[in-house]
Amino acid sequence: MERQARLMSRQKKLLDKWSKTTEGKNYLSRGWTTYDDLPEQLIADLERVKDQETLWSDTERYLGDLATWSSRFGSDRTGGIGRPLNDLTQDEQVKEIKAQLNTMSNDVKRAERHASKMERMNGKDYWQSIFEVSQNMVRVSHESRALESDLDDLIREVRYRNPEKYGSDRNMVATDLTRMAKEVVAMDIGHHHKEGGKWYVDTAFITHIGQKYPGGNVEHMGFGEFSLVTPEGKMEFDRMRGREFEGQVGRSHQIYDNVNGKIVKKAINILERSGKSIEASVKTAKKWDFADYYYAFNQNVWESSGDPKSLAIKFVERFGAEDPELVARVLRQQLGMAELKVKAVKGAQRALGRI
Amino acid sequence: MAITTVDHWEYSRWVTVIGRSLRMNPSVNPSAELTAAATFIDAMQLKRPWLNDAIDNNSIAEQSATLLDNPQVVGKNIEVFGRNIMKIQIQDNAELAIIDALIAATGNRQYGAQSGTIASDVVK
Repeated sequence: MERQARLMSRQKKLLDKWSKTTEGKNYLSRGWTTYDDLPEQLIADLERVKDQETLWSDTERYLGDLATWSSRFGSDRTGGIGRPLNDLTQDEQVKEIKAQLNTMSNDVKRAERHASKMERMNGKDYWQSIFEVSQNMVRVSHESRALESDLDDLIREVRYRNPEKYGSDRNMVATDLTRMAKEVVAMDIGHHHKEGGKWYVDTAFITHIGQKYPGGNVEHMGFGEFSLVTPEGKMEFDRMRGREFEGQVGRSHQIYDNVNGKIVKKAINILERSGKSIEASVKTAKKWDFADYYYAFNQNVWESSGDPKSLAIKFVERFGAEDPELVARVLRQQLGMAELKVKAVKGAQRALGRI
Repeated sequence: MAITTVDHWEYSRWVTVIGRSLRMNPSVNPSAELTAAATFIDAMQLKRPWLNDAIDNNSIAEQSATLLDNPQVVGKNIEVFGRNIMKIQIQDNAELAIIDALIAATGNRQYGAQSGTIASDVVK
């Protein structure tokens, strides 16, 4: 801190000494100190050293430099929490702990809700209830994450297509978002792509298939999940299992139906003939990363009905050979989460005195 | 509404310098200047009552029976008002008139002169 006051060193010493007394701390804790408010004895002492013309303004400036953040909250009035609080908030570890505590407290709150629910169920279905907790947690995180990424994708797309109109103004995009998004998506030609016996299509494909498929209607199931309802049956667009391919517009979705691929074939034929969708020729399948396996685990185990243990074994059988290291990491991580949830539920029950 | 047609920093500087000048270079003809100063202090105490504590502190510290005749006390108190004018603008025309009267009565002291313009008051 640079102190610019042109005080005599003896005057500075007087002010330093005074600012460390209880009286001085109380003055500084107000955040402002005027020369005329100082105690008369201090003024007399300062003037006795030298009664220069700028004494009053220099004193005020010097005291302003002394009144740091911690001293302002360091008085008895605020319980002397200033410096410890300041140190704490600067600590990286404390930040981490705070984040963890937030997560844990949310877990415990959810677990408490379920514990009280379980109490009404007379303690039956204990494990089932725990899995309900985990399912809810996973769903909530999916929801928020999907919404965020959807919105970001859309905004980025709109801005990319209108760089002059929407230079750096995100809010302006948001106001026109609905209209622009519809226009942008309608302009595009869809893409479909086959890989490993499965078909993947992009967002534009979904838009067009709803208009072109005879008697078909695209329904939004929530969280960016769509399905095509036709007289023959139902076709699902699975966003979570979509694999990226070159030329795609928007997201990639895996498509499958409940009538042995009949609707899938027909849909692709219709759009190809009408020129609304083309097959992406270059096959550049992305290797799965941790997040992909994470989503797959959530989808196949937590969000499926059935025994989680056998579902997890099925998951390992299906994906384990692809990348054993990543799959093992996902399993360890999920196991840790499950243990945490069990602990949270038990802790909540113990706290409520119900065990 | 504060008076914005005048520079309150300038007025603050003038009043502070007058106070200091009175304190450092006491008038050889006190009656004229000190009467004006006493009038100024009385009037300004009504306009800026939050400074009463500081004025009283100054006055008591001197332990003088005739406070207003004491140039040290008078000068200090005028300085208090001068410093306060820098922080809080001149509030109305009445206050401006009070300050103008002090400036007129003290001659060149507003510029840091050793004394006012009164010829007999000049200290060699």
